[in-house]
Amino acid sequence: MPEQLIEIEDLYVNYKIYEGILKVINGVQFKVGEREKVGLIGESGCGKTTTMRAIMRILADNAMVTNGRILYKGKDTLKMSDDEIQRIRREHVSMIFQDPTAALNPVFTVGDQLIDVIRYSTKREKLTKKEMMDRAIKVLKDAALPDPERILKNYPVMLSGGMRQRICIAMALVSAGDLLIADEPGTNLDVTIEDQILRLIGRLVEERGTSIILISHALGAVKGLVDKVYVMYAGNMVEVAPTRDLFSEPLHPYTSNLFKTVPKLTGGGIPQAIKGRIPDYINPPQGCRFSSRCEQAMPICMKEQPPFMSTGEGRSVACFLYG
Amino acid sequence: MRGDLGESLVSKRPVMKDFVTFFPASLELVIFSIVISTVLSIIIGAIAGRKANSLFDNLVRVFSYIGIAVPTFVWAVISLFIFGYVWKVLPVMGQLSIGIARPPIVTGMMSVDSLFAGRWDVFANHFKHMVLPSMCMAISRIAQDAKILRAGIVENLKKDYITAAVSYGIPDRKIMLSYLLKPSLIPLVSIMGMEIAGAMGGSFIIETIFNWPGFGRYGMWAMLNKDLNAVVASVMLMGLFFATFNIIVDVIVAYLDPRIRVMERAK
Amino acid sequence: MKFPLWDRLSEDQKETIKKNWHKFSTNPLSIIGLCSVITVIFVAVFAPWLAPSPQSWGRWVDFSHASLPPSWKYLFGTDIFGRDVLSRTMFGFRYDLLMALCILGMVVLPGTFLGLVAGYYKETWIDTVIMRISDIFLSIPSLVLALAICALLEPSLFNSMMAVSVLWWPWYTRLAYGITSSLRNEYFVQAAELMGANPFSIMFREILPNCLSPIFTKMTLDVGWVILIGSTLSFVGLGAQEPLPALGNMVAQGSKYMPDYWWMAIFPALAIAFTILGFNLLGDGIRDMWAVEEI
Repeated sequence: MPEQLIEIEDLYVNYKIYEGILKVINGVQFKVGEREKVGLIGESGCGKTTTMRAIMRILADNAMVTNGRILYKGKDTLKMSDDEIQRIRREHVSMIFQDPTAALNPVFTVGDQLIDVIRYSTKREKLTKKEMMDRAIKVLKDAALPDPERILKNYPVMLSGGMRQRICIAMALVSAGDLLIADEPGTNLDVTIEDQILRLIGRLVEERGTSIILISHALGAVKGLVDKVYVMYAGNMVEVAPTRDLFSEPLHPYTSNLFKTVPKLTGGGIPQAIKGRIPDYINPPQGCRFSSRCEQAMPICMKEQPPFMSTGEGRSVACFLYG
Repeated sequence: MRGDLGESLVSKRPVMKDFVTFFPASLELVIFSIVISTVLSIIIGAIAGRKANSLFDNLVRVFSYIGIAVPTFVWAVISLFIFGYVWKVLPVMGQLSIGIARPPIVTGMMSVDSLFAGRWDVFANHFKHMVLPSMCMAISRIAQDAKILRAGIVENLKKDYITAAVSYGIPDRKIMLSYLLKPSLIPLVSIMGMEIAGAMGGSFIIETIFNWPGFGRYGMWAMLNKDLNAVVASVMLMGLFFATFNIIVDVIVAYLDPRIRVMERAK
Repeated sequence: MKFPLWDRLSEDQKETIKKNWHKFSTNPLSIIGLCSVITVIFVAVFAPWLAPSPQSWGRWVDFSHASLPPSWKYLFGTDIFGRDVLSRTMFGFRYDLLMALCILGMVVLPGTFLGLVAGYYKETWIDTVIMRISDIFLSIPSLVLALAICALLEPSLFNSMMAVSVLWWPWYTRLAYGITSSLRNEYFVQAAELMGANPFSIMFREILPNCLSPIFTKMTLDVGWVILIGSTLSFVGLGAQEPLPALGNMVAQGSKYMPDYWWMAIFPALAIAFTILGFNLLGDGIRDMWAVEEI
């Protein structure tokens, strides 16, 4: 099997807050191969963004990785030197942030920020100023932005939400050699624009041959774009499967409940929400974190955490129903 | 509106003439103290903000509280005590030591005039005289500004655009010096107007204590001697100066923060 | 530790108070501020009984004990008239606190009222007039204006209080204006208008409660500023006059005899700093507790 691009093994991340310690990430396994498109779905607060930030080592100051390894092409990023991780950030992995308005510095022009990204990402190529400018214009065009010269001179506040999202995509494209992490791109925007953005990302990734981790709430969009999907709940990966298999035959109770909550235009009445709430991270339950909401919970579920085990054909589940 | 502010009841000269004679010396002191306080408060505030909750930061916070709470005249009295008697390393009176000739008056600001006349000795001596009065003026401002800048930096460090910049691999130094500093400076610049006001107000006291021949000492003296014309004129001139300065500050803030320009245009 | 009327409060109110106290008390600086303020107020109120030499506050001389350095008998030393500096300092707290109390008492209500009115009638001539006038006052440095007004009147404690009051009200007007004008178009105000409530009842019943915490916070922080300006005024001789032991006065008198008789100026100066620091810390603590952002 070819070496995985990213392989997360048994990751545990805690956040220290005023009221105590939030044990958010609770033993996560995650794999992305070269040129592979991976989706990551899960409700708000389940730890998707935290896991992604851990990959690039841009966690918040009050976050601590207490266990685990994150292997980038076999090397553990958590133990890399500052220079090595900077190389990764500049040339190999990059992230498209969820809120494009917050991700752009309001007091600098788009041009200033984009050219800075280009300058540091291509440090080894030693480009001239004009070459950097040309590359900036090219990448803005790639991101389907009209009139790139004018946009470079504008401040983020002068542009629409959709344009800001595309600029963030452009900036991520500059430094994404191998992997692009898209954290709910377009969620804050109009649905039609979100659709355009997702298609754009899909096309760019296809053209450049980069891998992508797509985090999204839009189950339909994820379905069309990725090869396999991870489902995450309360700091654990609960299931992974090739896209079609996951949607046609979800194994984990959470996944099947999740699909039931999506309203269908083809009738069937108002869907049921999943009963209960996500667990308290300060005092998480001892066993499976979904057990309190699971209709098929067994006594063992309350006591032990189910391991993330393979069930064949590229599928894995973390549930005692399957072993 | 002829610019005629009447005659001083005591000096029997037109107040305007007194103003022109004395104001440059005050301006010189105010400018010098603003420069010192801005530079120091940015450096101290930035380091404290970046290394929040470190020993340095906690010391800075203590310093901030004390600096704000102690009135300017107390600092002046203390520095008179220390430098006048205990450690006579800086002069405590006037603009120039006895025996040194004044340079010819070009702008009225002795530091500038002495440079025009090429008299380095005068400049050096005058500079030494400027240190104490301006530091006393500056201390409470440094305390306040460092606190504001620190809070701004701590606030902006959490923002997404900083995380994004780190994720693109932009080096820490560049992030610190431009991406973080520029937005954090904006609240500081916008209170600059009030700071100047405080400086001009403080100059009344400081100039009197340090015997600095500026407009503050003149105004103070006018007040204590019930020279009504001069008092009214002083207040009006201060108000005018302050209003002008505020307009300049507003322009600078609009330049620094493009969001304000956009909102203004939208109105 | 329950204070009176505790049992009259509803459960919700008790929860809020407990939560707020917890937020306040976890910051050691706020507790220091609270203790300092309580100390200052206590000393000021009970000065005649606490002071070792109560007669020192006024016109009293004892040349046999003049200009003595700090000792067990005279903890802060004596001044040139033989008066005990510690006792004078204790009485001195009275004047500073009195000044703060009177000024804030005179300024907060009218200032807030004007701000409410200006904010409610936003964009009309009422708004323009009120805010322009307050802008004029705010456009002149406070200290300069205070000095000028005091200079035009006979120097006295009362006149200096008047002077500072005259220039202080616009701060509260501006604060109330900001809050009122942002709440002006909220639904609950419009609902009250539709029901036919008259403007004053809207201002006082609907909008004013939202102003209370910022105003109270500002008042606490202002005590420090008022004492700062007040002591500066008495330092230059435009405030309380001799023989009143206003702390600024004492520093001015004492500084003439520096450095030999340093205690005459240093102790009152420390007392001023202590008071202002205490109120600043307390005010910061209150502001953090109520998470007031407008200040």
